[in-house]
Amino acid sequence: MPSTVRFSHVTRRYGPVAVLDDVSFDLTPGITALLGPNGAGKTTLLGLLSTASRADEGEITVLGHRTDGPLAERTEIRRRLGFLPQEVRFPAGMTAFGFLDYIAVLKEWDDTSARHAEVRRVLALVGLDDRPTIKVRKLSGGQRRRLAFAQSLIGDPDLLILDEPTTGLDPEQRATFRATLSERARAGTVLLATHQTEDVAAVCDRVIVLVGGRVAHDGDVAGFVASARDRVWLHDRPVADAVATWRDPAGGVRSVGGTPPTGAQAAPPTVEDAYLLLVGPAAVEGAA
Amino acid sequence: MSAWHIDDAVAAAYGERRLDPVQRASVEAHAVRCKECRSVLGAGATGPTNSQRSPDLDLEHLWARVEAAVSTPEVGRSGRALLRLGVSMSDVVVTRVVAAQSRQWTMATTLVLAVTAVAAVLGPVDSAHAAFLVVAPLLPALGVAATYRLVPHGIDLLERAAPFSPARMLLWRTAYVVVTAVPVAVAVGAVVLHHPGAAVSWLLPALACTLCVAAAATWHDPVRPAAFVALAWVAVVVAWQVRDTPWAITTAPTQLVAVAVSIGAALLLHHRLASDPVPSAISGT
Repeated sequence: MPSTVRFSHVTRRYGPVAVLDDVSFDLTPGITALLGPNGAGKTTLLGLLSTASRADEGEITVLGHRTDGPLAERTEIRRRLGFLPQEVRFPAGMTAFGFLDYIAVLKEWDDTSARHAEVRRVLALVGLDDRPTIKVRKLSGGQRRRLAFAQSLIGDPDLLILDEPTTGLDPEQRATFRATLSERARAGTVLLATHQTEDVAAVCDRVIVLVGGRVAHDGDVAGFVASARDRVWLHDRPVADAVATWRDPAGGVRSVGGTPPTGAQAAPPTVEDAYLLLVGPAAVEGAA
Repeated sequence: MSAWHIDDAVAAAYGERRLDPVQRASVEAHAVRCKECRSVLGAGATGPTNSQRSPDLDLEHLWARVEAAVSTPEVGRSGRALLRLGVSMSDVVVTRVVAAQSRQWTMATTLVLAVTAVAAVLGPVDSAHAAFLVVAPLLPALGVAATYRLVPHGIDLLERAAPFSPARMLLWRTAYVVVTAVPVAVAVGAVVLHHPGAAVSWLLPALACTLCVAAAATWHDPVRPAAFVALAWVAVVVAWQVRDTPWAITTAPTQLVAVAVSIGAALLLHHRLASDPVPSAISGT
């Protein structure tokens, strides 16, 4: 399958600190999760991919074009990508429709009728089509996040870059989001940066884990989960040297990693278990 | 209830989609309140004749159009004026957002000019002259930088990651600053400066400062070059005061230097935007 995105030995520094250090991977159509503790470089990586910033070293090719090429080449990339930043603050006094109308203009939808039809389409996709004229400041946090997600869907992009899209969504909204994303993934490539490992298990084909600006894991989700097999335990007390322990809803204590005491039962692992085992204490500190 | 109703010619034009967006929105806004005109619009629509269509479908179609029209943002008085001048609807949308994002800047500019005018009336005339000559030429330059800095977090990333031309965005931000700040500043200058030609003498230096900031901002965050240009301009005005030549700004050499700097900065800006700009707010990467 041809690559949609190619990162080749990419380094990005802020001052003397390398936030991304010699990162290489390819993306193909489907949904790829990007996991990592806070400060691992996920948002920086998405910024580079979206062409909003540029690498200090290495090459990034997106949809056949170099992100450090001339403006015309970057413009070709931008025409085919949708980007949801981690945080979107909306201009004061703007309506949901007005916001999407502006982003659609930025995406070169110059025909007014077609643009407005597209705005209504993406509003419907995120379930906000019944309130296009409402001021954004009157929307709840979850609705604002859905509105921000809607702008990334304008034009049905070939590459969708999402940074923490489900933050602030309730379980029902998250389920709707997953359905929309699964539908999108049939035709294009999605890179989903998230801390929600349930989302990874539910919709992703592949997972990349960044730790300290480097790729610590890159493979399919099933293989990632399998890497934690026989390393997750259920017992009546915590395992002493476990990476993380918590009370299991089914009863007993779930321990990830460590040496199992006599009588401990191996539990079926999850994406979260595999992530905790890979990242170690940094994951627990990052989540705190 | 309005006594005005949609006539047959307008209804026919509406049905054949010959009305511009503003006229169409007006017709649809009226149809929301007027049952009689809704039926007239239904009869004027293109496609199958009214007798061939189900009344329910007609109504559904009409309400869909009405709902669409109602949800569309108002273009406002300034937007309609721009449309009449031939500006595209897309650019009207951009100017509306730029204006909304830059409201704080406009208020600050107006306040500064008002204080300068009051100081000129109540305080020493020379101080007011100097204050105005420091402030006015910098307003557009600082304004362009401010319109970029005032873009909300997240929207700035979306603007940079969008294919919309960075040069076109710069043009509209600059136009907004010029239209909102320069006429007021010229009017205040006419009150404050009591010297032939002085009220408009700052315009060319203002152009030079603005283009320098815009060109430099293709390398850096616009605030840094704006601060540098502001310091340089303040130094020039202070030097004129120290040499007791406060009206040097009105002389031909000063104006010629401003023209030369403007041309140089404009050429540099054009080159930067057209070729391969490095990361910055203005260049879009």
